Amino acid sequence: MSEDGAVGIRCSGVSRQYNDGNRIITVLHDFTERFRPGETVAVTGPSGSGKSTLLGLLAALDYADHGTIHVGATELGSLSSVEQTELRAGRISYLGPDHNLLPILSVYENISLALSLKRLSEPEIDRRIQESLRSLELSELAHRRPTELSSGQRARAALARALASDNPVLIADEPTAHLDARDATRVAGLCATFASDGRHLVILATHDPAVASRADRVIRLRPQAPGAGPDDP
Amino acid sequence: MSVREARRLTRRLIARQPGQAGLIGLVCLIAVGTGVVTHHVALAERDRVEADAIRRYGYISVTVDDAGAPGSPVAHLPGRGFSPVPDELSSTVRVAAEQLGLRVHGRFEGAVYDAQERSSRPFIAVGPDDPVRLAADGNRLDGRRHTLAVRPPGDPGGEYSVEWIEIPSAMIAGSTPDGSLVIESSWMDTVLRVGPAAPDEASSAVNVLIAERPRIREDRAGAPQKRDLSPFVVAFELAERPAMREAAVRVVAWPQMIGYGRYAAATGADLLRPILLLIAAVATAGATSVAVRTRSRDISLLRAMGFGPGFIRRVFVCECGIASVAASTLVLVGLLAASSAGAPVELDGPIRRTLLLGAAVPPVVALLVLRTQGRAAPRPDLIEW
Repeated sequence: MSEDGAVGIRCSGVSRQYNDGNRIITVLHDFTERFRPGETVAVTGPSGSGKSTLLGLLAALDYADHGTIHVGATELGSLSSVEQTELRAGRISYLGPDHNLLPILSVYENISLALSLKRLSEPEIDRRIQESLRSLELSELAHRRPTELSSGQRARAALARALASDNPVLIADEPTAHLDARDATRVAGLCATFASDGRHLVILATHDPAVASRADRVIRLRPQAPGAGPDDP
Repeated sequence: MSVREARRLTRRLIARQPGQAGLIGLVCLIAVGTGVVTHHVALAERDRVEADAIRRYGYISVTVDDAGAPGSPVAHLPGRGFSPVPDELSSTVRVAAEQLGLRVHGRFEGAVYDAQERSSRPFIAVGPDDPVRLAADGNRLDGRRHTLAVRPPGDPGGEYSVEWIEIPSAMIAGSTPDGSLVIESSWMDTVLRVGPAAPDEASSAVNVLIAERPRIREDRAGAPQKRDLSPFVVAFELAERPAMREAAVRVVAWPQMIGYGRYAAATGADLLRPILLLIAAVATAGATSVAVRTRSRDISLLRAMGFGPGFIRRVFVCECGIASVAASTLVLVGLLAASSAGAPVELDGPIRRTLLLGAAVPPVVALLVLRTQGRAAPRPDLIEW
C-alpha cells in the first residue's frame, strides 16, 4: 500500500471451482491479472464466465481454490475469516447488483453505518456523508429509505456510501444491471471519476458495452469448457 | 463504536421491520402465557383435589425442629405408593404416621346435642390421647374431653372459616368405627364449626384423621391464648390460615406426606405442565430460528460491508431479546394487574421460571443460529438456506 493509501490488486493463476453435487464446475481458471490504483477496469463476458466469482474473490468475500490474490501486500488466501472482514471494512467497498443497501435504513443511515467501521468522530461522519450526498445530488433524498428510491437513485446512494467510506478499492458487480441507459451511463461516469484521483481502484463487472467503454481497460472473460480444471493442459 | 451502532441498528430493525420481532414476541407471549395459564390450572386442580382429599381424610400435623427441614417427615417416606382408593388412603396415612413416630388419634362420627342452641349436629370427635373407648357397659363412650368439629353440608368447595363455640359439656350420640351406637356425656374442650360464616342449621361432619407427635403438647404450652388447643385445632388453624403458622409446628397434608410428586402426577395437571412448557419452548425456538434465518440477506450485507460475526450477533440477539423480554414483561404486567384485581394469581417459582425461560429462549436460540449464519458467506447471492 502506498503512502496515500492507494492499493493495487494482483492475481496469479487464480482458479475457482464449485461442486454442484454431481460434478465439479470450474468457473474461473488460471486467471492472472494486475489492477493498479487510479484505473477503472471493466470485467465483461457472458453469463457464467465467472465475472461475479472473480469480483467475489477480489473483494475477499470468497476463497480461491488455486492461485494467489494480493490486495496491496496482503495475500487473501492466508487471511482468516476475521482478517478478511477487517480487510473489507478498511480497504474494499463492494457493491452488488442490488447495491447492497440495508432496506431498513435511510440513505444517510446506510452511509453512516458503513462509516462507523472507520472509527471516525460523529462530526466527521456527518461531514463526509453530506459531502458525498452533495456530490451525487442526493442531499434531498438523504432520509429516504432504499425502497423509496428509483434504481438509479439507489445506485448513486450506494456509490455515495463507497465515496464516503473512501476505501481504496471499489468493486461493483453489475452496478448498472437494473438501470436505464441514462442512469447506467451516469453511474459508470461516477465510477470512472472515483478512480480518476489516482488513489482509488475501481473494478466493475458489466454486460453493458456502453458502461465498459467508460473504463480505462476491459477484461473479457470466457466461460470455461465443461470439465476444465487447473490441471488441464 | 460497534456497540452504539449495533444498538442503533437494532432499534431501526424493530421500529421499521417489526414483523420479525413481532413474530418472536407473539410466539413468546403465547408460550409464556400458556405456561402461566397451565400452571394456574394445575394449581387450581391440585388445590381442588387436595382440598377434597383433606376434607375427606384430614391432616397430619407434625412437630419439627425450629430449623425445619432436617429430618423432614416427607423424606422418610420414599417410594410409598399412592392409590386413590379411600380405604387404602386412610391406611396409607396411618402407616405414614406410624413410620414417622406420630400418634394417630381415633376418630368417630356422630351427632352432638348443643344445649345452648337446642339442636343436634353431626360431628367428628377426636380424642386427644387415645382412640375412642367404649365404657364398661358397652353402650357409652368413656367420659372425657373431646374436640368436636361440625360443619354445615353443601358448598364443600367454599371458603372455610373457623368459629369457636364455647360449650362446656354436651351429650354425644355417635357411632364407633365398628358401627356401635354410643352416647356420652362429655366435657368439651372446644367445638369447632367449620364452614361458611353463616351456617345453616343442618350440619354434617368433617371426616378427620388427626395425628400428632407427643411434643406438640409442649409446643402448645407457649400459646396460652389458644387454650387447650388440640391437634385437630392446630391442624385446622395452621392449614386453613397459613399466616398463623407457628415456627415449631408444620402441618402437612397427607398427599404431601405420601410423596406429592406421585400425587400431583396422579392428578395429571403437573404432568401436563412440563409437556406444554416443552411444546411452547420448541415453538418459540422454531419461530426465533425462522425469524433469524429470514434476516440472512441483511446479515450477508453487513458481512460484505465488513461487519464481523460479533457485531451481527449483537444486533440480532438483541432484537430477539428485546422482543422476548417485552413479551414476558407483558405477561408479568397482566399477572400483576390480575392480582391487584383480586384474581388468585401466583407469582411463585414456576411462574418466575416460566417468565425467565420465555425471555431467555429466543436470544439463546438466535445466538445458536448465528453461530453458523453469522459466519456464512457474506455475499447475498451465495447465501442459501
